[in-house]
Amino acid sequence: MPEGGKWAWISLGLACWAIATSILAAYYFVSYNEARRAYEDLMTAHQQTISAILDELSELHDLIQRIKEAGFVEVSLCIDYGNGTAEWHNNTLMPVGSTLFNLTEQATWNLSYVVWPGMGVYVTCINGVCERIITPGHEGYSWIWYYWDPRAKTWIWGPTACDKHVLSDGEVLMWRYEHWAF
Amino acid sequence: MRAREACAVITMTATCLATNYALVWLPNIKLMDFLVFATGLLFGPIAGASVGALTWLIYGTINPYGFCLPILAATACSETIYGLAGGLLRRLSGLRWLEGEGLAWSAYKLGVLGFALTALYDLLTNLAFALVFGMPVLLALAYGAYFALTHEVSNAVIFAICTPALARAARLLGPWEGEMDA
Repeated sequence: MPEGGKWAWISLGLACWAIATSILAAYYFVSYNEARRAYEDLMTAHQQTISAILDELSELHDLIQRIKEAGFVEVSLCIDYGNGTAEWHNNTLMPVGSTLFNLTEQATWNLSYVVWPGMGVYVTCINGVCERIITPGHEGYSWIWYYWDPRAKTWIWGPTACDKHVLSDGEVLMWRYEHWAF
Repeated sequence: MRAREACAVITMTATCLATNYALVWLPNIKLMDFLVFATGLLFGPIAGASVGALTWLIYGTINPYGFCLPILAATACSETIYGLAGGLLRRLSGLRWLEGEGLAWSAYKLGVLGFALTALYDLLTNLAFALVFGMPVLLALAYGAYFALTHEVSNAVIFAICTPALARAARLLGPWEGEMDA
């Protein structure tokens, strides 16, 4: 084969290589553009979702405000079973004038109590956990209620029967099943 | 066209169709292009071009990917370049270039030729696609890049691998009439 013919074939081979790499570059350019468009669409959808969630939250906040203005208080209640288990009922809305007893009735599924004339309601069982007297007047386990003092940052023993304590907005309360002994 | 060429055209068209339908699950990887080129090389450019056009007329009409007349016309016309190239190469250089300088060099040349012819075929069909569907030409080329590259690389490999078979077939069939005179 003449020398020129050989180089012509080599040149054609290199031209094919150039075509192949150009095509590959075109393919990756198209893929890049498609990926970028998909990413931009995704970001737009993400922004729209976030915006929609914020709108919903804002509406929910407005709704809570309107409910509160319409005569409701927002309180939180903790039920501490004394064994390490505690359940929280946060931001519960109750009508103005409700008592801790009303709140407890709403937040629990099984409530037992006795009414002492002249004193008020005495809770004996909450959600199946009942008062247990070991030595009458000396030792036992009972449900005691507390309210949270935000200034002192501590729980304060409830001073009255639960049906005498009228709820105020933002209040945090707790029922605790605890051991007592005298 | 003599009886020998006519028989070759019919047989090679049937072979092209059989391999096309057998490889229908593998888009853009076909033995047809090599078979059309081989027909041109072994039986002349008219026979080669006839096999390309006839194969596409049948395969393009009964095609699992659908039928589109302008695309069919474009592919049928473009496919003839393999047959024409094979025939012209034989007419210009005889069979020396196929076996003259060792099998590896021949395989390289056929691989390069397969790639270059396929690049030309893809360019023509992509141009036809762009014109038919009113797409910008560069966009059509860029979007067809992956399929084009698959087609070109696979054809380069097929052309190179089939070199020994082609050389053997050429030896068995003997020279053309004109070659004998020469």
